[in-house]
Amino acid sequence: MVFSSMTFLLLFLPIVLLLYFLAPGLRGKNAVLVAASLLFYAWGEPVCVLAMLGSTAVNYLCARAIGAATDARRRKAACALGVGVSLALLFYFKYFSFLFENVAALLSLKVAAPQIRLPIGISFYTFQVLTYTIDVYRGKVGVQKSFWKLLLYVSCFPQLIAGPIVQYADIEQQLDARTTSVEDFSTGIERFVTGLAKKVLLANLCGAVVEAMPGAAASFAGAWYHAFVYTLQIYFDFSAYSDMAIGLGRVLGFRYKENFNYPYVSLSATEFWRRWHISLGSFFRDYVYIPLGGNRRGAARTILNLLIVWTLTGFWHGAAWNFMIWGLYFGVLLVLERTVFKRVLDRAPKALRWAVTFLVAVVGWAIFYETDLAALGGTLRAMFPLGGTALPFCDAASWKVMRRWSLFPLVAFVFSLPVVPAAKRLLLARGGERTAAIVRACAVALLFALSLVFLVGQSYNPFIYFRF
Amino acid sequence: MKKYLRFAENYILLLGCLTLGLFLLLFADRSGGVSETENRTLQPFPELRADAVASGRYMEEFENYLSDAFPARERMIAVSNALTGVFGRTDAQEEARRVFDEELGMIDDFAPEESAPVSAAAPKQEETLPAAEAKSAALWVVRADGTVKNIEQYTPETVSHVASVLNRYREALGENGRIFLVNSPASDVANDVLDTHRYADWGYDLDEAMQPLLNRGVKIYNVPRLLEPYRDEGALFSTSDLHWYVKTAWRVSNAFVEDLGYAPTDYYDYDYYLRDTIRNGPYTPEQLKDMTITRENLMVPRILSPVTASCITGLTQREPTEIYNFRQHGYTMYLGGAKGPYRLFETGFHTGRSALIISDSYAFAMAYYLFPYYDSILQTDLRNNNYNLDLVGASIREYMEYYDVDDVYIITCQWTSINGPVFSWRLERFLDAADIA
Repeated sequence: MVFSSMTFLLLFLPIVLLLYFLAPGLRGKNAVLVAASLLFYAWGEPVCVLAMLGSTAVNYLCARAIGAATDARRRKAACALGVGVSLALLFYFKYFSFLFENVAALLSLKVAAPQIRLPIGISFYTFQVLTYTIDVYRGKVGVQKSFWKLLLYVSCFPQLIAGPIVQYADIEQQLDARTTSVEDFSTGIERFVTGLAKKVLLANLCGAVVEAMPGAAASFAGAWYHAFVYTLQIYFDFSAYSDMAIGLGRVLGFRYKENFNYPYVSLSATEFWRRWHISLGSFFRDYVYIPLGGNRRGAARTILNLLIVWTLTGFWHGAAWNFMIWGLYFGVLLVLERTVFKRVLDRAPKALRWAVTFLVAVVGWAIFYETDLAALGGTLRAMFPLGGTALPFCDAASWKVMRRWSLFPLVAFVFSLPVVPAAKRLLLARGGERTAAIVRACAVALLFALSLVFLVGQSYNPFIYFRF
Repeated sequence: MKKYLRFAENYILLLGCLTLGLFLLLFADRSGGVSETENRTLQPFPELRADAVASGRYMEEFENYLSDAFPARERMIAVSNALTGVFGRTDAQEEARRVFDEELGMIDDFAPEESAPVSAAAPKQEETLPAAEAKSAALWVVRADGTVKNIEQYTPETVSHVASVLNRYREALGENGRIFLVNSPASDVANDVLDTHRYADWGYDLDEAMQPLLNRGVKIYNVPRLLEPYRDEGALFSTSDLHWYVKTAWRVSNAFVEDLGYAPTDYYDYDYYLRDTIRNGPYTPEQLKDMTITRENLMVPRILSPVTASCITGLTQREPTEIYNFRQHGYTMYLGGAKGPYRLFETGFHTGRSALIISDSYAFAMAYYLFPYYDSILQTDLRNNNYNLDLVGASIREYMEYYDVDDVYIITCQWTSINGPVFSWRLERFLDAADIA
């Protein structure tokens, strides 16, 4: 089920909240949430829900085994089993066909790769359940005795499908004791509505523009325009989902960490990744980079660790070479920023640093967009016509779209910057609390109404990050 | 106090959602219908079946139902179109008008790239007829004061490019194969011309500009000229659903039939269903009061022999579908709505010939009048929403070969103009490719 769908907004959410708040005690509330979460997942993926249940069950048993084990070897084996099974499931569903295709191509075999349906959100819930098993092994968190509570942690519908990746340690206490205050409820709903509006009014329209473009490799201007609008689309799309997830979590008494912090204001690629998909960065830092030695084993090993982490980050996003290239692209950039360009960056004017970082992000998303390597080559040749190209500066089909959509990307770009918090501060300072409260109430109602109006007629509505 | 007011607002918002949801679930019209604004069939309440639930189709249809049954849906779409238009996108008609009126001039600047994106299936340079041989063309109206307004313009490059695409389709057919192209004016343009206070005349010369570039067996029709003798009869095109009336479709079909060497079947040799205009029709009583329509313009032709209809995916897979869908309104009741990517109609006539109709919804009403002349008719719509690339599984050439197609009809209107993406690259691309990768 999708947050920005009529089924969710008009039936699922109000009914679940009603049942949740009517349910007696935390046990009852948790039961409502588990049932609702399974329905939420099964609504779109009736069969694939079994993969999630299986992964959770295996990790539940492995964590119990870790807790019960008396010697280190058994603890390690139980942890390895839990991690291994989770990653094997992820590998099978997400990467097996890709590996099969590539091996077959390498051996010149004419065999069709098996078509395996990718369970939605498998990358997210797999990483979540890994944080549990690994942290139990590390002794960072206690063993969860209740399978249902662990299932609630893994499957809790606000963050189930597209994150943020919630680490078990962050939520352990809240599974056993949490409350929702009037303030939490209001703030949560408002955050949800803001995310919904971001998705429906900005991300979906950006998506419509990207769809309307004839392709990214038609001309120089077309390729850059396409990449620019896609840059906005992916930000609004993914950050909107995070807003909605965090808001819904708040309504249900959970406090999820922020996942985005206006990444397009970054002054370096390093900063960009501190502001973009923060929960994924935290996961790779805590569970891959630091265990590999982080930056404690010398410069060369640090570089290697960074490249490993970024290759994995790229690969996490999808089973295609472009994602690996995209990960490596950022890995190399981060390494260069730490080494070669550090001094240059420190001395460069802020505006220049911002512009370069933004261009780096745009090129990154252009790589991210094209899963076909030949098409990616075409896009990059169109964007960087080094040594001449037969492509025109601007093709007619792209020009039509660009003319028709000349204003909207600029408006969307402004909203990708922290203008809303600035406006809130200004309003509070100039108009006082009462005016700010009235404006906020009107804005929430208006945004929700507008979102509904747009949702009714929009056919383009998927979340990009669902496929990961 | 303030925080409770804030809570109350959000609580009311959720309660409103629930009320609306329950209303849609319990009291809304479950029969579906058609959205004239969006040119598509609306989703009826889905039937609960185990296989549909297991495959996820039920959930998808349920979601579509909630969206499609939403109160005041058409108005909300109009509002969203208007709001979107502020930032650049307008609704279909406005957008098309704006493209015709304002933007075509821009094509001159970039004309050689009009067929982009470059694809493996793009014609080689030598296959494209030289632009120098092509002439520009237009669809125009003559205002009552004698001034001329171009509704649509075609640059020499467009004319040349479309001609080369049509010639490639011709090459894909057998020796006696034919290609027929109709690029009709939109319904509102056509009906405006009937208002003699505003417009004195109309004209179209794409056929004259393009015909010299076309190979033997390829013909383009001039719809304004075909319909000129009938201007006195009142509305030729629907005034509400953007399409032409059945009788107009029959008239244009007759031009094809005559070129095939047959005598057209009389209009009244067909039997007709009469659409219920009040309870379940496309027009409200208020609309009917203001419309110059006759009873016969609400008629739907009944097929002259038993015809079986199948939805075709992956070149060979067939699933039975309906020929009429009287749950729908307007044009989507014809040919079972807009199921894609291909539909096959096996007519029961034994003529030894088969046809492929590549069209937008303008062809829906015409197809019936072509049935008596073909053993089978394959139909597809290359527009984004209808040509499902996940399901199509083969190129148009492969479909033509597999279904042994003799003649190809390409039927478009201003909305899917030869200046638009369907002609600029979809028709070209998909001749030899099953996807856009």
